Amino acid sequence: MADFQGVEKRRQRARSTYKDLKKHYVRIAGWLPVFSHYKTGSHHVRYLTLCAKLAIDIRYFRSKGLLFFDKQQKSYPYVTFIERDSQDYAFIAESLGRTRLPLKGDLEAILLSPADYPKEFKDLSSTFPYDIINLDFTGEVVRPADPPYNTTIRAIEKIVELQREASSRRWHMFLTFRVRRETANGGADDELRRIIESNLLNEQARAAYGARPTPTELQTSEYKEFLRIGIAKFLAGVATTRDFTFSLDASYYYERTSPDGEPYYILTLIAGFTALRSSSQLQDPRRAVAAYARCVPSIFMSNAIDVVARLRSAGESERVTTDLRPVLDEVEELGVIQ
Amino acid sequence: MATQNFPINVAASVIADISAGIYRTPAGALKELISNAFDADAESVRISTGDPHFRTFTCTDDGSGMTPDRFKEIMGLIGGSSKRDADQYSGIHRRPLIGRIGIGLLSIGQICRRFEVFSSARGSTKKFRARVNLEPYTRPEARRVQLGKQLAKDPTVKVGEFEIEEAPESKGKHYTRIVMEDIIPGFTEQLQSEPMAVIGVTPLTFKKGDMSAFLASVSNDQVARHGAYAQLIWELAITAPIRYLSEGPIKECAQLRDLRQRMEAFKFSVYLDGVELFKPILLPHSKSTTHKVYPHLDYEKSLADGRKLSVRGYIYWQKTRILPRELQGVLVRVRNVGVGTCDPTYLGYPRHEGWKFSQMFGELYVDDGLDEAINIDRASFRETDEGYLALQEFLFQRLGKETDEGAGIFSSIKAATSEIAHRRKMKDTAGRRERTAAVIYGRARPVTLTEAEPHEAAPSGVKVTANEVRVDGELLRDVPAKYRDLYIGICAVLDKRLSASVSATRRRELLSKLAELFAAQ
Repeated sequence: MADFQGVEKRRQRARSTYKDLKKHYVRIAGWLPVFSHYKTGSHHVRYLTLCAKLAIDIRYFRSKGLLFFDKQQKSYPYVTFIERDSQDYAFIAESLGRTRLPLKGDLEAILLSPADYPKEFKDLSSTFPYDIINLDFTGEVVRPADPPYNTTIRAIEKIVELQREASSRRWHMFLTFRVRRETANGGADDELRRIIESNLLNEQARAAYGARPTPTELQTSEYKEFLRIGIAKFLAGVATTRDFTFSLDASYYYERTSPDGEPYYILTLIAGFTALRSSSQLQDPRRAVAAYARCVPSIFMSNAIDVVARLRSAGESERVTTDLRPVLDEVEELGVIQ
Repeated sequence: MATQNFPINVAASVIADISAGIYRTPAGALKELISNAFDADAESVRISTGDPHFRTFTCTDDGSGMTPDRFKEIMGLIGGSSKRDADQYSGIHRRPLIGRIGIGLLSIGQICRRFEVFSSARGSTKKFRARVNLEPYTRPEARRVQLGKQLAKDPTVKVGEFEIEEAPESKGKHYTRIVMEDIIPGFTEQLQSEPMAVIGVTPLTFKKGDMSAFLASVSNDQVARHGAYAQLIWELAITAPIRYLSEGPIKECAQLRDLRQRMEAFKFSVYLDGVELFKPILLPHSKSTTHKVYPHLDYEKSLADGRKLSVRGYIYWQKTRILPRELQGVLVRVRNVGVGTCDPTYLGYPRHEGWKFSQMFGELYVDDGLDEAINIDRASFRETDEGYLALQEFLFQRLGKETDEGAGIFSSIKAATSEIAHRRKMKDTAGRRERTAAVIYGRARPVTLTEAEPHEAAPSGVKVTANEVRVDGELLRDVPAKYRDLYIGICAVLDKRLSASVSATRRRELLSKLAELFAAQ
C-alpha cells in the first residue's frame, strides 16, 4: 500500500498540470476532431477515461457539445471513469454526478485479475464497446522495475480484446504516457527495438523508416521517437491479432519538468482501430497480415507534432488559453474540496 | 451486612451490533454523516453512491475537519464523548448541534466494514488518512472481549483497528472525506431494488435531476414504487436540515416564513450524486386544491426532570389525498433533523379519523426537550420519555380539542369538509334546478315543444326526447296560447317524475285536469 505522503506528492504533481496549455493543445488538435467524428446525429460518444481528479476532458468535451450530458437527469450516461486514488475518485464522483459507470480501482488490476475483482470486472466489461478510450497514464507505460510484458501492456491488450468481443466496428484509443530515458525499462525497450528491426527487413517499411538513425541509435539519441514508433508498432500488432486494422492518426509530444527539476516528455498517440470483419464473417488470416503490412510503413512515415513549437506560433497560445478558460472557471466554481 | 459493588461490562461485539444494524434503511446511515457535517459547520456535503452499481460510496464535507488526535479520541472511545459537552451550538454558524452520543461515525459500519477517512482541521497545515477496519468487531471472539480492553496485551484477539498517516495540507483547507469500499452486499442489493425484482416488480422510472422534477415524477403515488434509490433521495431530503424547495413547504403561506428562514440561515447544502437536495415538500398539489393551514402549533412546557419542551410546528390539510404517500403524516424534527419519516398515526392518535390522515401533513420542530427520547437509530422515539409524552399530549390536544383558532384541528377539518359538502350540495341543487328550468324553458338546448297527433303521443299523452317534448293535441286544445309552452314544460317534468310510480292512464288524467286549470285562467 502506497504511503500517504507518496500519494500526496503524486497528486500534487498531477494537480499542477491541470492548467497546462500544452496538454490542452493536444485536446484541441488531437482529441477534439476524433470526438467530432463520432458525434453524429443522434449517436452519443461512448467514452471510457482515466480522467484524473478534475476530469477536464469530460467537462471540456461536454462544453463543446460532443459528450452527452443529460441536463434533466444531471448525468453523463455514456461516460465511464476509472480512478484508483480514493480522494480523487471521491472528487470526480461527487463533482460530476452520475455517470454510466464510476469505477474506483486500478484499471490494470481489474482487467487482468477478474478473479480478484469479479464485480468490478463484470461491471466494466459489460459497458463495452466504447467509441473512444482515453488512457491518460501519468507515468511510463513500462516502469523501470516491471517485466517487459507488464500489466499496462497486458491491460491494453485486454481492452482491445473486450472491444472486439463487444463487436466494435470502429474506435479510437488516446494513449498518453511519460517518456524519460533515465527511467526507461531496458528489457521492454530491447523488445521494442527488436520488433522495429524485424520490420525493417521489409523493403517497403525500410523505405518508410527513411533517414532516421538505426533503432539502436534512435533508442539513445531520440528516445521519445523510438518509444513512439515502438509503442505504435506494438499497438498495431495487438490490433491485428484481434481482428482490427490499426492507424496511427496523430502523435504529439511536449516537455515537462518534474518537481525535482528533471525534464521528461509526455507523448500522446491517437490510434484508430477498425474491425477487419463483421462478427458474421469468417476470419481470414491473410487479410490480417496484409492490414498489418500496410500499417507499418504508415507508422514509420508519421511524425510527432511538437506541441511547444505549435504554441509558439502567433496567437496559438491565446487561442488555447481562451478555449480552456470556461472549463477552468467551472472547476474553480465547484467549491468542493480540492 | 457490607454491600459489594460489581462492574457492568459490555462486550466489544456490541459495537458490531450497533454499527451493523441500527439503521433501518441506507439513508439512515448516510443521514448520520450529514448530521456530523452539519455539526462541523460545513456549508456543503457531497455524497456519491456509485450509482448504478453502488460499489463505492463517498461523503465529503467542507466542515471544520478533525485533527488526527481528535479522530483517535473519537475512534478510541466510541460513544464516550459528546459534542455538546462544551456548547449546544456549533462554533461558526451557531447551529444547534445534532450529535449527542458520538456514534455517528459508526453508522458507516452499516454500509461497509472498511473505510478511509481523510481530514484536515480548520487552521491546520496537515491532513491525515485513517484506514479503519471494523471487520474484527464482527468476529465471534468479539463477544468475549470487554469494551475498552482492546488495547490489552493479549495479542490474539483484536476487535477493530485503524491506522493513521499524515501529510502536509494547505492552511486554508478544512474538510472531512470518507471513502467507503467493499460495500456490504445487502446494502448494494437494496439500493438496486433487488427485493422488488424478486417478486417481479420493476421500479417505476423517475427523474433523478433537480428536486422539483424528482418530486413531480414521484408524486403520482408512492416514492417506494420507484425503487430504493428514489427512497434514498426522499429520506435524505426530507430529514436533512436543508432548505425547502422554492415556495415550500406550503405555497403562499406567509405564516411559515420563519421556518423557511430558519433553514436558509443554516447555509447548509447536501448534494447527492451531483444533485442538490431540498426538502421535497410543496403543497398544495395544485392551485385549485382546497386546503387549510394551521400554522401555529407552538408550545413550550417545563418538564418535571428540568428539561423544557419547545415546539414550533404546523399542520396542513387538503381536500384531496396528499401524494406521494410518504408525505402523509407528521414529521418530528429534533434539532432540525427529521426523526424517522412522516408518522401517519400522528404519534399514535387514539381516535379513528379515517381518510383525514391521508389528507394531512405536518412538521413539528422540537428544539429542546426531546433528545433523550430518540432511540439510537434516530428513526424512532422512546415512547415512555416524559418529553415525548408531553409532545404527544400537545399534539393530541391540538388535533382533537382546542386550538388557538378555536376547535381542534380535526373538528375544524370536519367543519371545513361539511361546509364544502354543503356548498357542493347547494351547487348541485342549484344545478339541478337550473337544468330542470332549462328543460322547462328550453334553455339547455333547443327543445321543440310541439303538439302531437294522438297516434304519435305516448299513452300518458306526453313524449319527451332529447330535444323535443310532444304533447297530445287533445290535451292542449283548451290551454290558452300564452300558457302553451309552460304547460308543455310542466307536462314533461311531471310525466318524467311520475312515470315510475303512476300509471300512464292516471298521468294522462292528471295532465288533463291541469289543462283544465290553465283553461280556466
